[in-house]
Amino acid sequence: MSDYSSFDHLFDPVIVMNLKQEIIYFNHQSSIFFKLPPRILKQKNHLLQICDSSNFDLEDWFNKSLLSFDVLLSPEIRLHLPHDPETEYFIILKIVPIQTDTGAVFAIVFHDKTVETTLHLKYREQLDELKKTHNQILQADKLTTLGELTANISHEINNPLTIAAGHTEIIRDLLKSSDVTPRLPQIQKANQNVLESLERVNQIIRNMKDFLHQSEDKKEYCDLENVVDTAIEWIMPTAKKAGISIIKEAFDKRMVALANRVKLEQVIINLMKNSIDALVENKTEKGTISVRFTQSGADHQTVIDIIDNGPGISKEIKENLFKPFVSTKDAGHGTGMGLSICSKIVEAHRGKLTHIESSIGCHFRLALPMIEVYSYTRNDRSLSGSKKQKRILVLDNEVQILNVLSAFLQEENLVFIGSSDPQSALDFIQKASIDLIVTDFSMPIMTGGEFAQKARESGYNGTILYMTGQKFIDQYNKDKKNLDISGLIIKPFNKEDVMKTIRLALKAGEV
Amino acid sequence: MKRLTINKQILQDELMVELIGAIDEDSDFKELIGLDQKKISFDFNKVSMINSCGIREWIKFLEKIPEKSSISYNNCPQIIIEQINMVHGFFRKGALINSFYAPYYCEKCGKEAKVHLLAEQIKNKKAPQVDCPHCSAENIDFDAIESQYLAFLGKV
Repeated sequence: MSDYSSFDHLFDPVIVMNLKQEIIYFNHQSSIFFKLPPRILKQKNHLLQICDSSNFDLEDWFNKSLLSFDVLLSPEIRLHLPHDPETEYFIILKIVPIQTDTGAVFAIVFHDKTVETTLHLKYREQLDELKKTHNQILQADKLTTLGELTANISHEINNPLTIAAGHTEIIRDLLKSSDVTPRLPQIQKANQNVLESLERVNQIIRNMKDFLHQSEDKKEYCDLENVVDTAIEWIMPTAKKAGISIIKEAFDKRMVALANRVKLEQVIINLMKNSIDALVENKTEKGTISVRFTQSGADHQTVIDIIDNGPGISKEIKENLFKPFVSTKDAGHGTGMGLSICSKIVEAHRGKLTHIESSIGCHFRLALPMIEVYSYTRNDRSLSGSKKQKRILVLDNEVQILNVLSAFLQEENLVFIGSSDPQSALDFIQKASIDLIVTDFSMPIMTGGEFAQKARESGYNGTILYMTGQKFIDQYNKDKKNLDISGLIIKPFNKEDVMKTIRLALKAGEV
Repeated sequence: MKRLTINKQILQDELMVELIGAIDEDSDFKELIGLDQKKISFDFNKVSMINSCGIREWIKFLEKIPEKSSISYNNCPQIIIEQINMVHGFFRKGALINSFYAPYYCEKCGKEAKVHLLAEQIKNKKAPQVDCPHCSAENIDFDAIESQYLAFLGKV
């Protein structure tokens, strides 16, 4: 008779079975785990008499291990005890064949993961709850902002409506005449004015709906200047009423962010609204809010500065500026959550919202990461241990193209890295290994050809594809040899065209 | 699973704590911290479940009790005895187990019984002779591995 008593010192339950699948030994821990006294356990001679699984065929698994006579590990299975069917255990089984003097036996170890798995499920549930609460807070903040701006928005809607009504009356009067033909140009002009005024009203309402729409956390490539313009449109009626000017300083190139545009609008509106409140309360003469775009540092962060010429922020408030429920406003004005929410939104974009020390007024800086780095770290699952995927950098100054190709490539399990700035793309390919580059040909600042040349000069020897209209075919034919351009995606394109070209180019690049 | 309820009374220089429900990751013993008395006695009679997270919370709590307080465990059910036997730190050095439950089985009537025993009844790690509470049969069987179940007495 073999001695299995050393199993009694283990923390995991272990049972030993012979080749006929009869239980011949239980260690001490088995009695605790199976909640059965040794007296009862000894009467059980088959595994299924003491436990069963709802999602795993124990008998089949045991038979497999008999055939292979090898150590086998099960997936995490759900286990039930016949005498305690209410309780569910999460277990990993390990079967170990042992050759003894009296023949082959199998030890089955029950590794109990119940606490760990239950905690994980509980954690996921609580995290979902937190996310839901967070979204509710965001929505509440939007509603507060909207509520505070509504009076001025109504005024803004009233203006075009008054104009439309006036022109409708003009049309009515003009139509009273028996012969309207000579008056047709006037009627058409008045009609045009009505349409434009109504379109303005429509635009305001559309903005309100977009702003209030509880979108999922969907991030897309967006033109930052456009985001700022929408935010300014929102805030302008309030600023106008308070006699405050908003100046947007132009920037020489298109600034693109990978962002949830409604949430970014929310941040900018909040910051400008705070400025307006401070300027009004301080009765600042010639109150001004400036919005400035820059690209800063070696990491090419995209920066939006919002600066006012108001009273600035007191030292006491500065220390807790981004904490919830901090407000300089009177009760009933603002929730004190605005800057805290703004800061969280920017952090969720891997950016940073900071207050910059300034001798005059208040200066907030919203810095967002360069889109190349952000899209890379966001999309490349191999960074978190998954199987390596091919990395494709797409360079195009049109955000719509980036969004379309992002969707195409990610559906095909490829890592999409978006870029709208050739210089940032050149810097990025120095730092990360890129399998294939798709570059637009006609871009401001640098053409696709110039970009490809600089990429080759910098040592990039991966695959490059051009993406352009048919009229640049000659340029492609020339660069094909000079710059080793592997192919051309012709705009307008469909998914099949793009994916086939990319797949073939990747395959050729592997050879 | 019923969350842990903690009932507490202070009489003279003794803090008496009754634990009811599951000791798990949600258990919080902080309401007991700072109530230290010369004697602290815990009653585990109504503890229905304990898991490894609960054990962790319990050990963290024990570490906060001043050493000068003497601790006693009372009415420990089988699940608590199994933990005491398995986990280092569940039972603080110098603490006393006054009473606990032990599993017995009566061959005559075929019924199981959890018999309440006083620690002083255990001699040489041998379970005392017990009559069946159901049919009064004499000297029924201990229904666990005696040396293993009573191993905690060596820790006292």
